[in-house]
Amino acid sequence: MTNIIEIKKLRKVYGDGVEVVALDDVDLTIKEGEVLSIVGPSGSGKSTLLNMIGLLDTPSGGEIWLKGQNITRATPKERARLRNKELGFIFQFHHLLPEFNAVENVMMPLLIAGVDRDEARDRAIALLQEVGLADRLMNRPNQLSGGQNQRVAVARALAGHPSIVIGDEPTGNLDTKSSDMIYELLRKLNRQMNQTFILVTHDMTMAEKTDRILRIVDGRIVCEMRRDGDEFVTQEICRAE
Amino acid sequence: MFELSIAERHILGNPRMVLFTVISVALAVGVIVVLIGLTEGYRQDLIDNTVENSPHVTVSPKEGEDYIYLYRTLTAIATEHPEVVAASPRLVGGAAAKHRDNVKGITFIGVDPLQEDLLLRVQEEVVWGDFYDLQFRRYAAVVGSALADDLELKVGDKFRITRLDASLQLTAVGIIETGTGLDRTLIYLPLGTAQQLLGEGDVVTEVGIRLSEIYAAPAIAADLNGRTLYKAESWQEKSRDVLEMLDTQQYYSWAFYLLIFFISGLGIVNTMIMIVSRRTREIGILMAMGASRGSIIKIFILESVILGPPSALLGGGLAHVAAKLIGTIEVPAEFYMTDRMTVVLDLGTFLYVALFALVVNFIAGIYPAFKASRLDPVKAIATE
Repeated sequence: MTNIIEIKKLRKVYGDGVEVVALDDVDLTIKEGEVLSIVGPSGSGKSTLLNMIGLLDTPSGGEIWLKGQNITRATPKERARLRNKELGFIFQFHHLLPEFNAVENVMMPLLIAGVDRDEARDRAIALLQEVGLADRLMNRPNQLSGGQNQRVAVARALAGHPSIVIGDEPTGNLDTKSSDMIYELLRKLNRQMNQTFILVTHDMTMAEKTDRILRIVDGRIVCEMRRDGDEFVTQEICRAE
Repeated sequence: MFELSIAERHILGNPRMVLFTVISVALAVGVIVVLIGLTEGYRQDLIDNTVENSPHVTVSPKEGEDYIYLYRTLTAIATEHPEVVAASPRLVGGAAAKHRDNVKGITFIGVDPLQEDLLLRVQEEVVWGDFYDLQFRRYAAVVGSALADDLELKVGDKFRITRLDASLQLTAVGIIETGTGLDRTLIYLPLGTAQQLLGEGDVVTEVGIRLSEIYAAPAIAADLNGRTLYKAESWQEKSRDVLEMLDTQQYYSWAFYLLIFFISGLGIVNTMIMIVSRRTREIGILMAMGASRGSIIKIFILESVILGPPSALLGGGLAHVAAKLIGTIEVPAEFYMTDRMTVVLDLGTFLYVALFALVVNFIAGIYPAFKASRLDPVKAIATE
């Protein structure tokens, strides 16, 4: 498997007077098709790391490589293009556009990419069928349940065939049943399309279903557990913690 | 173009806020169109009034003289021009009129009724009696309506007119109502009678010329000035001051219109800032989906510009209604030239103002759109 993301000595320092180190020299390599979870306490820097990988935020130091291309200093325009082409986002809250129905919401990344409207519609309908919402195509977010909206959001994240799907607590706002359903959906799509999934979560049950778990504390990766069959292989450092 | 569909949904999603913005711009458009229409109406009334109610070319005596002696030669020269419809020798002077115990200062005009009617269409304004009686009755007079009221004079009544030592008894054969201040002072006399009153012989004080083509007036005036020693003046020259004043006033008006647009523009800016702040999270999401800064700018400028055409249409409708209403209000003819103010609604003016409204909407959208495009997506998405 090739490396889709390589992160070298990544730093993020927020500072207005008092400097807060959100990420402290993080090194990380993510392989294509991997399903990775990032866990850690609130304020540990996991969302910051996710925003860096998602090209929503810029680092204070270090480098980010995406598909062998150094994108650390990419222009806003180039970052927008990469977000559209290579990345799909799923947020804790579905964040669908309230005035648009399910199909239109899923079409949006495609329309931004300049895809023809009819083609975008076909793709959106196919994806909504895939996530089990074939009978809810014309419903607006306020006419759908939380779990249904999150499934629309998943469909939207996948619409543009991104190589990486980023989920920031994608099931954080859902009951267990809907959570499981979303996770199974992501897993199924991962198997079908070999997309890379990076999920930030509080939910250890969900994290334990992924291929690799990273634990971040105070802006550092303090522990990495890698799946080997049904077991996780834990690094030495984790035991020391 | 996804920007347009987002802009459209944003607008439909905030109907009340949008409605008030549209109304504010519509009012600006309406007020400006009506004000321009009033100014234009005033200008046209002024020109119509000047062109209808005064000679197109007026010939006055030579420098240093009080009268035109060879007026028959002068009218003959004038009528050589094919555009000349009438050349009316006029003897204008002041006198006092007395009827019963009423005495009034008046302005008499001695005329050849035929030429004078061709010059100013006097007969149309005669509300009682007949202007052409002046042609057949030597001691006859056509009196201004307000003056007749003041003198308690009716058609058929005899009254006396006095100037220095001369005094004549006249019969009122007609009442004239021009709708102007002249109605209070004017008395038309046959030319011979006026000359008798003046006692200066066969003279006139001016020759009034009417043309079939009013814009030929300056050329004909110039020709007469070249060929005679009399002083010929076109209507444009005579009303130059007031026309220039109107032009000057236009500059002030434009400053005023700009201010109106500026104020309504601030209203749009305000609405757009509200929309942007309500949509902050959505903007963040669009950015996460890959919408570029340019697209975000486009969305909000489109939103602002979309409001332009309905505002302009509504403003046009308002202007139309206002113009109708203004047309029904009676104004005293002494203050104005007619008893109604005219609002000239010109499609060109409206389109011009509408275009300007669009530009204002566009400009008003720039700042909020720019602010929206510079949002930090991480912070925007985290917004509650």
